[in-house]
Amino acid sequence: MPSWEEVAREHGRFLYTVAYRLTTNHDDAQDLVQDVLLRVQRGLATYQPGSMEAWLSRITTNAFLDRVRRQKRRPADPLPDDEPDRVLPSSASAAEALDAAVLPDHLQDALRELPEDYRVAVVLCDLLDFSYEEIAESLDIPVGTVRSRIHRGRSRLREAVEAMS
Amino acid sequence: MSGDRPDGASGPDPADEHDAELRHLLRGLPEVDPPDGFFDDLIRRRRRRALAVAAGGLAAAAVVGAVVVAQASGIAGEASPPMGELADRHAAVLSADVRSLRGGMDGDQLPAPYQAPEEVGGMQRGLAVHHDDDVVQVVYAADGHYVSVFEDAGELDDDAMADGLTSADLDGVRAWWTDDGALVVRRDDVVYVIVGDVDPDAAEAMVDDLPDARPMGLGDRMRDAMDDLVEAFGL
Repeated sequence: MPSWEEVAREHGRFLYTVAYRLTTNHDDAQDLVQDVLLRVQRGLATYQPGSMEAWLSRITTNAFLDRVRRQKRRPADPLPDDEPDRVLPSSASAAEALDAAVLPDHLQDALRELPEDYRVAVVLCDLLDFSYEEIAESLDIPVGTVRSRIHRGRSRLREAVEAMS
Repeated sequence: MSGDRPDGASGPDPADEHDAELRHLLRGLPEVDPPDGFFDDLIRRRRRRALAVAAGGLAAAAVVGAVVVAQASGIAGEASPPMGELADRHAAVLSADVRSLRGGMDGDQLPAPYQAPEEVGGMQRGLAVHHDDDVVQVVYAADGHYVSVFEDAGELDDDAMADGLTSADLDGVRAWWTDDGALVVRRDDVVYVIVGDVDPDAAEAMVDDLPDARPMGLGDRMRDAMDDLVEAFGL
């Protein structure tokens, strides 16, 4: 069983990357990592040997969502839920744009510009391999809403990347 | 699969391909580095906090008293500090009936230029003793663990220290471990020796909180001023 210090030293970069993808800025990522390591310290006794990174992803996500819920108790801009889904053209233009050298900074910027609910859904699904059902459970929303957020999030990402390319 | 496509068309669904491409790009994003030293600082702060929590209620350890210690030769100098003697001093304090001690003082009463922080590495300052050889011994306590921090002005002979001791670099601070687990630290013109019931991690946390240089006392400042005058007027 590793100590929390070993977890921090051996998986810190991974942990920080996940935190940064979710928060999209260094200040919040650092706060989140501190919160996560506290939870790691408390939860190590119950850790079952397996994928440490999957376990850390889960803890990071839960810690992040707790922070989001706390923030949402304050007034914030509502998500454009009534916005119609944007359908990708069937032409190859989007794929070509994505195939073109997309700089990591562009993609990270696009991720940062996404509405938070969309970004969280996309990060959980496409980066952390959560299933729709797991995302629905984590976010306490219906699976249909998960699907919609991921779809819209991806669409916006593509548009943003196209615009930047 | 083409049969799964809602429009009934054949061939791969472009939307699926776009999703896969996007996922591929997202996963290809490089890892993000935290600021330099972020995890080291975090770990250090957490260690201190853990020690501080363990030290709760130890203010009672701050008993004013004194210990009679035989004349010693000090810490700083050309050779290694007298580790055995310092260990004896530490043991003497712990074995003494603090109510019978006299001549010691609270850390706040230590004369300049001694500093003796109220807390080092999450351990609370307790008894302080100003020995006849001008070495100051401050006992810190936490959760039933007691550590003496000996302080003396001066330099150390690195070559002499290397003999029989294990050299260490603690975040840029030159230090030496003894076989008995004592830690000798040189910070600027001050030598510290940490002796007692403390593990290496906690000792390193204490080193972080030890002041670099001692503020000059009134006598030192006057001496320096006189030296400046002598130099300025060529006396």
